[in-house]
Amino acid sequence: MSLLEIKQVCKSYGRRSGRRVALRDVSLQIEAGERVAVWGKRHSGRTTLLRVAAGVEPPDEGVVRFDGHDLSARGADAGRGGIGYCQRSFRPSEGATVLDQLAVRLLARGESQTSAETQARAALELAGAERCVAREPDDLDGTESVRVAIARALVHRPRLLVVDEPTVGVDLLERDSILRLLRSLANQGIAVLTSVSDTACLSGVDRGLTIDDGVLRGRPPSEPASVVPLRRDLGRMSA
Amino acid sequence: MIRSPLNWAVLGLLIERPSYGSELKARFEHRYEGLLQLGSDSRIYRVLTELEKQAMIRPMPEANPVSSGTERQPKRHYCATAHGRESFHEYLVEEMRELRRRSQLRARLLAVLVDRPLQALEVIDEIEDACVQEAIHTPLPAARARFPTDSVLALAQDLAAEECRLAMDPNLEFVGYTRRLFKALAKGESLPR
Repeated sequence: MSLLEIKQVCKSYGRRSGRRVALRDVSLQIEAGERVAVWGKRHSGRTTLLRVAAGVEPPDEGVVRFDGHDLSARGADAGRGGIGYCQRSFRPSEGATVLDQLAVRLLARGESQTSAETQARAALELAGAERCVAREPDDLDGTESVRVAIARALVHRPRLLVVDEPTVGVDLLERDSILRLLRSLANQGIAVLTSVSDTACLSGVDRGLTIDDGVLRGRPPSEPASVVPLRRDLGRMSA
Repeated sequence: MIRSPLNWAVLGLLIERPSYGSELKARFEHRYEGLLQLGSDSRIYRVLTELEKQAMIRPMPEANPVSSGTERQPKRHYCATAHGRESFHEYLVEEMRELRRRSQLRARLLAVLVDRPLQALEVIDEIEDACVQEAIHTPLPAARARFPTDSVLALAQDLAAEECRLAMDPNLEFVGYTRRLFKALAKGESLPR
């Protein structure tokens, strides 16, 4: 059984006249500790796919199972069930500092102040954002805000981390440090699913998929990779 | 005019700094590992001879000429000439044009499949898979050392990796566009204007 299983999912937005299909019969499996990235352009369906995978949005048709449990079932809670969906926006009502922002949801779940802060600091350290602990979210630069957002998702110790475009707004020379962080989280057993709009962000992932017009393409997890260098391929075509 | 990429690669090493045969061979293998091969040991000397004939490089005056014939021959150092540097710069620009020509040719070759759109879509799927596999197997660079021991090699590796990673974006976008057109043809629709 795969950690995440998306089966024949369809999703549309809008009414009949302006209806836009975001996902067309999409199936995807992700294993524990697997690092998967989905490349797609804007409006390709990449964000919808991630939101559906994280249980943030229900599919119109099809099934999404995490660890065997149907995420669309009544009472399902993706966060509590082990999925961390990384959101970049910070609500002022959730705390003045980064530490507050991370601790608030743990407090809401009944953790003591000390325990919540200890766990929040540990998550920040895991995401390489320990320097940001006392900062205000508005004062973070692009890279720091990504690391803090990842830490906020990690604070619930997810087994699957879902990040929509992790390197958007990140300085080009800092991009790889974020990708290395995601790779290291996968190496620690956390499955990581990201969307990317830049093929540079496919480096080092276990599986790369593409999405276009709501259609997901790529190899399943079990299929061994046989690399055919593109240059050779192009060389053959142009010889 | 130099035709072999191998000769340009050797000229590049001599533009970086003067060098001699065996050292050049070692630097060549280190720098261009997996991209170019010198083959036999004597190849580097043949390349040097060709480059010298074309006035791209010149031997440097010997600092300590050997007086007797009993000792080992001095190592002959070469450096790039002004003509060599200028030609090298032109080559870098021309290579970009050559890549464009290849891409253009690939685009036109795909059009051959206009009457076999389903076959074209299979080819497009395979090209897309090749792009993705190339991208995911380009290693994620390790954290940059603040003061790398060989800064030229570190920069060369960094630039080569980034070029490979970024090169797939236009390829995948082209795949998406081409797929749309052939899908329309497969459905019996006329090409969109």
